[in-house]
Amino acid sequence: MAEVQEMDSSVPAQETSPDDSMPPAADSELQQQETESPPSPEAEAEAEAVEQPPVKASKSKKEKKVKPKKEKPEKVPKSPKRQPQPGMSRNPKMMICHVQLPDGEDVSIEIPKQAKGDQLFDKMCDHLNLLEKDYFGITYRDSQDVRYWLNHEKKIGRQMRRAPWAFAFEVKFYPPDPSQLQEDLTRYMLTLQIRNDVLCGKLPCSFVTHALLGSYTVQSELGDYDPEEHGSNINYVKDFRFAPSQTPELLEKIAELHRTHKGQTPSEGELHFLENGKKLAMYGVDLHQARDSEGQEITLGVCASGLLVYREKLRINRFAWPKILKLSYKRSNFNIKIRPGEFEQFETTIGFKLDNHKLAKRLWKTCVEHHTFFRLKEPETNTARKSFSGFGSRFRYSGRTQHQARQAGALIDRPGPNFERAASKRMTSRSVDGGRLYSKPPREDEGLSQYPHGHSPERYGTYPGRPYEDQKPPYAEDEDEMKRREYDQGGADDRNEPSVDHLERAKQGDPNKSVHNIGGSVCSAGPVEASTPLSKQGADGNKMAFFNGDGNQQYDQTGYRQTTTTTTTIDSSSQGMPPTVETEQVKYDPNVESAPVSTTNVPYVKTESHHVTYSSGQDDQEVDPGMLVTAQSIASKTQTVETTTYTSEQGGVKETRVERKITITSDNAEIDHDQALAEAIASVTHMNPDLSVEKIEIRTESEEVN
Amino acid sequence: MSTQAFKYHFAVVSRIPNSFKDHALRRKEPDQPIDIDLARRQHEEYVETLRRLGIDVLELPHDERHPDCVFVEDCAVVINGTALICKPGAPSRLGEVAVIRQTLRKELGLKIAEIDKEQATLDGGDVLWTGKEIFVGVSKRTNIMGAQAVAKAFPEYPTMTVMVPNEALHLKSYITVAGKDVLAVGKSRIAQQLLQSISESATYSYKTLTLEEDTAANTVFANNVVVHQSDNMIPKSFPILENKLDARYYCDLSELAKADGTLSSLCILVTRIKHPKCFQTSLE
Repeated sequence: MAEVQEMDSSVPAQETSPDDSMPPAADSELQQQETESPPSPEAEAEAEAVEQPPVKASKSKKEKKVKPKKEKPEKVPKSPKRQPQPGMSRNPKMMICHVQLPDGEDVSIEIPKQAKGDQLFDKMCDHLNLLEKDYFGITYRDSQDVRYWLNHEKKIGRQMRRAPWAFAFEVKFYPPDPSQLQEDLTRYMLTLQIRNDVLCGKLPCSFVTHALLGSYTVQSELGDYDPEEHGSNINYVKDFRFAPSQTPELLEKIAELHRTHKGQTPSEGELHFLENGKKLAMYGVDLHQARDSEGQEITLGVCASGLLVYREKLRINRFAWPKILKLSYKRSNFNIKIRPGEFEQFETTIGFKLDNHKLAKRLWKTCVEHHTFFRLKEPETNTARKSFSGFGSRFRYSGRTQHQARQAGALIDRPGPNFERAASKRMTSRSVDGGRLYSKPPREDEGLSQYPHGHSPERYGTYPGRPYEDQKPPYAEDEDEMKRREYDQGGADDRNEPSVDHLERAKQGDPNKSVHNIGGSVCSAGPVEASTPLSKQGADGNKMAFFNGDGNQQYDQTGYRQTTTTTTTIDSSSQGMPPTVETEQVKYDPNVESAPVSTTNVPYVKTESHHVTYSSGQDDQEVDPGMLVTAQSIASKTQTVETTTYTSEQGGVKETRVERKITITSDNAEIDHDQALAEAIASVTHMNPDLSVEKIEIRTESEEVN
Repeated sequence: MSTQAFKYHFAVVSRIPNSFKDHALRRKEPDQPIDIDLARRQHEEYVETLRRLGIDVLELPHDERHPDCVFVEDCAVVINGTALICKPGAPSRLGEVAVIRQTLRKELGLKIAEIDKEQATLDGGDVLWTGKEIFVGVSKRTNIMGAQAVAKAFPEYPTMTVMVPNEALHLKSYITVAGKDVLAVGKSRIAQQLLQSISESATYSYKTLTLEEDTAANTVFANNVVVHQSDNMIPKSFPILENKLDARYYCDLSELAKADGTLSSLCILVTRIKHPKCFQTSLE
């Protein structure tokens, strides 16, 4: 997980959203725990029983058999009208994603089949020329029409399964104070989202509020009221969509109010719109249906300030984030542990029942994300250390927090992007000129200039001072057991090639990035150790060589456009700067030939076990593992995790090594081994990004059954 | 301007019918019978006070069929240009809402919202709007369904319920807004209990103005002025109010108090802003 650190210390620190008086840092206590099933002796036994001695070595790497069923949709996707067929690109390695924008437009984006969520997201943000990306995300709907956020770290294919690749670009975190956003463009996107929220009933309003919001919409889209152009009745607004049900009376009020906004530019109109929107009770509240412990129907709302509980529109409870000690889910139950009140001794645990496990997990994730984004200065690292269960989802929000987003936002240096506001979807069909129903476009925002030379809407990667280097280890208040490794500034330069794209993605907390090899030592987002590099050539058959492919190129050779420029000047200026970590995006491609082990090459395996040994210690040297500190083994149905911690003194330096052995077993062949591997690796680095991967050993044992 | 939330331009009041003297509902019989003439004079003085605040007062003629018609507050809740027509919990009062509805719609151009559910009951005196959120007292006169109706009619504001004990009449008998983010409250056990409930469920924080007598806590905050009870009614609290409040008026409502009348119960306050920039809220 990467961090965005301030390069220039004179940039004032921004306040995190202070809903309650408790400082954000206190929330690092919050445990966000997931328990899929309790560790039990049975599970352990089961895990062991399935481990088979290797019967047949896995197939050679030459066979690049891609799992057959994943890519083609087997049947026509179910009806909702706007769900298109996932287009098959001419290139079999690519997929076409249909993404709906907040203004109702659809765009088609071609991305590699194996792409992770963040690739689509970044492409979308590029398309929109959106810099303040942290507030947004991409959603998809499953067959029950339940909305999910696309996970940036995981492959899209894995998340979509059989569903068509239809998405929506939406606001994920609603900023409590939109006026503090840096760019009008961001506000525009937020406005579009809120308009949709109002229309679909997510953001309920009464008459006057609908009228006010509507009047600002009209001002932004049509400009000043002009009796000649707009007439003296409501006809000119009747085709807008303002409210779930609108009456002539509402339209009259809107028209009446529209006249009072004379002189407002579109951005001003949107700002006023947002100043109203942000004050609404349901602004930014993500709702989940559930039942309380007595079986009564309730609605849970997740928002910037905490967790809200409603029954029949009445708010019956409110748990501000500082009050919540722990969030967990188990089966279809979602539980929160509440801090004891002033005069109470004990914490309270409150449970809610969701309709199914998936929904409970979804709710939990949303809470984790909101809590992290709004309350923490940086994404959490040492959560649940004590309660780390070692199996199931170790999901953590890995994007930037609002605090970080604001800091980065403050450094946005480009002039406000010139963007076109599409006419909103009207009742009637759009006219051919792109939807402008009236000839006069709204007033241009003042102060907009032409793009300076060299800039174009697609290239935003260049702006000075983007502080992606790590001045210091990102998780300062981090693991005390893990010693921080020293930087090697000199060595860093040759080994690491900067990549703006990585930097862009760093904030997504791409876990693979944390463990990639840059031809030198594997480094995490933390300090780089000047230790023996992992061999790039994979000389040792046991080693997993990570491929950096072509350092700066994000995607493969299909000619897919790079999403960013590489004009960073960060590396060269790092002389004399505090030690920096330059890391590089590396694509781990299981299909590439030189991957020594690829379990995807075993098509007919019925039973597989896949040992991943991730151990510390230099490869060729005898290393005294040192003093054993702890040894722990946790097992679940599909995984066994054995963690052993050693400390040792080497050359006067106290070091702690952690050896984790994760055994993943599965009864059927459906394990995505790449995924499992990535997750296994991520599980460690998520826990402690300072941890350097020193050795990865993969053994696959499989039993072929014909 | 934040106190714009409590900026009022109109008020609806009702004159006192003769039947008020003997038939207005009351929790207990007063020691002295109601002096109807004095009651009327006091009411007029009250209306004058509202006018002094710059409020245009609409006076409805009295209705002999409805002895409690003077307590118009219980008939409607008006916030942000929407008037939710109540369903008074006392059956004898149900007929009062018709003229109120008519007036609010026709004379004041408000959007009228109705309560759907048959069994819902709602007295306006149980609805406390702080400018930022709404607390509805669930009491003898207001039930949960009534509270739900409030939440539905005013979705812009978080709406929470507060349990009002049986000894009490309305939530606002004990707690009212006496300034921006200020809640006036008495010292009795009931009053403090209600305050506690509110503070536990509140989204926002408020200052409290703690008074001695419970009845003192019922005030009207309008156009930056607090209207409170006179010193003969609240001898102990009066000096506190004098001390703590900048702009204030006071009214003597001794005769109306005999029928459990309070300051807030006598009017429905309405905001009418020509060119609003924002919906009605004291949030900044």
